[in-house]
Amino acid sequence: MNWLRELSRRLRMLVHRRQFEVDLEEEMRLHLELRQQEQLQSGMTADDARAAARRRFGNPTALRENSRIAWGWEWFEHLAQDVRYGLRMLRKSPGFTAVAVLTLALGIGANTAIFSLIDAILLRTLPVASPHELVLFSDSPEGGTNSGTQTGHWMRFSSENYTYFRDHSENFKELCAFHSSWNHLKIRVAGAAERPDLAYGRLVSGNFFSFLGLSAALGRLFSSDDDRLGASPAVVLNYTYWARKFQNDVSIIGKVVEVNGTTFTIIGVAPRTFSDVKYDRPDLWLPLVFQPQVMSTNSYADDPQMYWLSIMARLKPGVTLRQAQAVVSSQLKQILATQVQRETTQQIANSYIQLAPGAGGISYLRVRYSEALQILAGIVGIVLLIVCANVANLLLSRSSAREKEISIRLAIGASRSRLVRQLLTESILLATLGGALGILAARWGVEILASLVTGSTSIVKDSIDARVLLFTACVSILAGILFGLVPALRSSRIDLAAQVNGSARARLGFGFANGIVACQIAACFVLLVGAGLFLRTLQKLADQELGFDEDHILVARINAEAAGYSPAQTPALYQALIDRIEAIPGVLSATVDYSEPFGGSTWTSNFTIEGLPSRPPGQMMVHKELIGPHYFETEGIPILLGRDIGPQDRPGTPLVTVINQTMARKFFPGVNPIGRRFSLGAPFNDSEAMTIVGVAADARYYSLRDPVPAMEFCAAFQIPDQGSHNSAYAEDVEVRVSGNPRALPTEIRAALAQVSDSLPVTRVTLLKDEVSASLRLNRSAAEVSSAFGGLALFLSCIGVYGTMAYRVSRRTHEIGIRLALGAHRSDVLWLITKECLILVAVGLVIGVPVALASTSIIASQLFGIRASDPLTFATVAILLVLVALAACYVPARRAMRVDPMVALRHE
Amino acid sequence: MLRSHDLHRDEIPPGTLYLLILRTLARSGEMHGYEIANSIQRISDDVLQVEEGSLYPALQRMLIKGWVTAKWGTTAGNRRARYYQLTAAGRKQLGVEMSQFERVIGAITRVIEAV
Repeated sequence: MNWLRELSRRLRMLVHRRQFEVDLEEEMRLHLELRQQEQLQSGMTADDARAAARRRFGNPTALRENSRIAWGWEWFEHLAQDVRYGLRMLRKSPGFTAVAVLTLALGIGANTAIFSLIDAILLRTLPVASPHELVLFSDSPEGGTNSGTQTGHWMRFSSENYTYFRDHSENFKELCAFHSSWNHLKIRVAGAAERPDLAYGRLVSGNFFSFLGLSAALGRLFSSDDDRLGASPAVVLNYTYWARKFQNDVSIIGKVVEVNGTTFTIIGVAPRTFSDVKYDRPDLWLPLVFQPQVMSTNSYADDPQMYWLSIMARLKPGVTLRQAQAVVSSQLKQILATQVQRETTQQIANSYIQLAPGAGGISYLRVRYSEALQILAGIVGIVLLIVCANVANLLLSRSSAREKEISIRLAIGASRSRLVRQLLTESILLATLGGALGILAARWGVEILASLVTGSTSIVKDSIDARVLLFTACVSILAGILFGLVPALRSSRIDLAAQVNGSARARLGFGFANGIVACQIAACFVLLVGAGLFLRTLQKLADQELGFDEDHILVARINAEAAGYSPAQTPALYQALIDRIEAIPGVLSATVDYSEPFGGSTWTSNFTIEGLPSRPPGQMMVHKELIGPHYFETEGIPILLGRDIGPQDRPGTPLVTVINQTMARKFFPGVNPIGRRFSLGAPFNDSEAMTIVGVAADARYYSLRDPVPAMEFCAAFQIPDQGSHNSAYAEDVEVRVSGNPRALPTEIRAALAQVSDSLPVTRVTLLKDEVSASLRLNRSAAEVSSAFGGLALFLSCIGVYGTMAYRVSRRTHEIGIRLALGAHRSDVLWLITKECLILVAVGLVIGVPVALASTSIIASQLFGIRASDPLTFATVAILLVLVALAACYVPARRAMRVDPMVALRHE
Repeated sequence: MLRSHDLHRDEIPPGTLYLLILRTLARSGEMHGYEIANSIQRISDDVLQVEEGSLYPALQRMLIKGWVTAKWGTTAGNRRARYYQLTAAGRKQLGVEMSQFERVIGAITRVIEAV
């Protein structure tokens, strides 16, 4: 605490430093006068007395300086001086200042924007107690009910597994569990007449909130008692849902709501900052024990094969992730060993759990965008380097204008280090101004970037927070040092004699300036190659054959669940919708789809073919789709063998399915698959087995990039209430039209409303637009890298122009002599152009290997093109040469027009 | 006469200025800079003469350390002067400086007197 008090005394001194100086002055004067008086009394003359007093006192100026140093603020006073002086210098050359500050604002702003995205997506931590103790049994953001049996990597667990881990947790303080997906809920405030609202809910273990160390914003949160069999049903509301749906009504606590037909009591509201461990903002949380009521299915807790829970734990102090992981993995094997009938020995040996740090929660955005964000960070980092190079170049050419000033300061005794400090202060000042402006630019840029990268601005924070400000401050200061140091060191190393007598022909910072421009060109090359590769990737992906008639298919999103239809009622409703729409002139065919192509969700399962042994895990995998009648006709996908799903495939008829060509080729090689039966899961299950009635051509459903996987398309109408509640309802009606599809949406809406006026139709779009939306990340990679590549090109252009102009002005004399001695003007042109070409050549020599090394980092984001694509490299190189030649055209012309007489007389 | 006396004064051993100031203040309570200088000189029978001005940077450092406090008052001759006074921390520091000094002097004495 002593140093703290000392610091406060020093600070007080800083604030009252004028007073301090006056006091010290007075004190010293008093001393001298008293001494002088004493000497006078001992009989000296006035002059001798004063001299004697001074002699005994010492040098007052040095002592004053010494006292000031004692307070430890002289650096601050120097800094203040430097800043004042720096500001004055910047004001004196507004053009230079404007260019430097604006380009720095662009560079720093872009970095700030990317950092705030990275901060929001990659670096955020859950707003819970001691987040760094948290570990996840899997950080995979996928929801679902499958296990790790196929790959051996276990990500989701059964209730039985959770209980076992919880009761054998030597390395954990505590464990909690939650449903890996969310559930659709129909919510009605008890007694209210209105139609139920749709909401999202997550089932969590009773200790979920206490485990996270959260306390209620209102009411109370769950305790373990709320999650026991026989507990009275209770829900906790999300803060934003409470605000939206109940207008922050505090009397809501204790009220009763009907959730999917069961009455629950609202017991509390979660803290405002908490949007779940998965950040998916469920509207409410419900105890795990009410899973059967919420999902209208059998109890998952009783089904040891239902792997539906995510598990989170708190590590005990001193236990490492690795130790805990080894223990839970071996525990998992023990659990599996007690279930021999289900898992083979081989499967058990392959099974493991990969614990992940849980401080950041489970983030879909993090998994999806971390690579893209890192690439973006790389791009803007290079842009900032180019900006720094540009400003350094400006500073160098300015330092030649300031040679006089600096030599005078050196001549009257300024130390070199003091001078360098002064010049560095000026550059850091520039960078700080740029940074301040950059923050403004970033506030606006971050929204653009967020929507480019993630397609929404929802993750953007309301304001730039302290972390981002700190980042920007650090980047600004570093940038200031980066671009200021070398110019400052150079300009303080001046040949004084040459300067003062005016004979200076110093080629100050000459090689350095060239080096900067060459590096700029190299960095520019790297960015442009990246941009080129992303552009060609985008083009190749957009040119991919999809396999269906996406130009003529309209997609109308409907929600029969919200309209109150039960799963069993849906086939009749959907058939009526299809019949009504097919009656519209211009409509060729219509169907319903349970998950739209390129909608982002997939349903994968292993399967077993009747009469064949089950194969090892991972080898028999199929993507499952649920579809309505005439699906393939509507999508324009050719049926190669057998038939389409039709209206005859009603509930009660034997289950049928259509498989795609890839599945036929992979799993029925050389045989006719029509009439064969298979069931999902293993072993073969006769009661759930489906008969293959058709083989359809391959079509791209999930990705433009990956090869088409094996797929099977079940007739959804046959099994309206089978499987998970979430998949019982069709996502959309798909309509194939003959003419211009954009003319029909209103008629389709009207037709749907005629059949059921309560059916919400959220939007009607063209399938082509949906597919193109799936290319967003590729498009934004291309757009962002092109934009920054363009900026880099522009800055490098300025760099080349500036250097060449400087060289020409320095060589006017020489060029004049050459011309006077009979050189041709074209020789002069070549003289300048040659230098420019050498500059570009050096830039390319540096740039090509750097580009080769760095594009391999983005290789995974590319498609249909190699990271070292020679065509892209060559195009960019030619572009750079042309741009550099254009930039040096003006200085070269000036050189050609040098009048030998004027040039020679000038000296 | 005076001049030659000045030239032959004994410099105070390095590092002992704080000790001298602290001890002087401890003995006399409040003093201003000139009084401190005179007091050191007088008590040491004019043997120890500090460069008087160097008292002031030293006093500033001691203010920062919190060993002394200062307040403005009036001298007998009715002049404004800054009076320094020892704090509790200063008193403690005096003990530290004293024991350190004694240790050094004791060691030097032993070296000198060793047979």
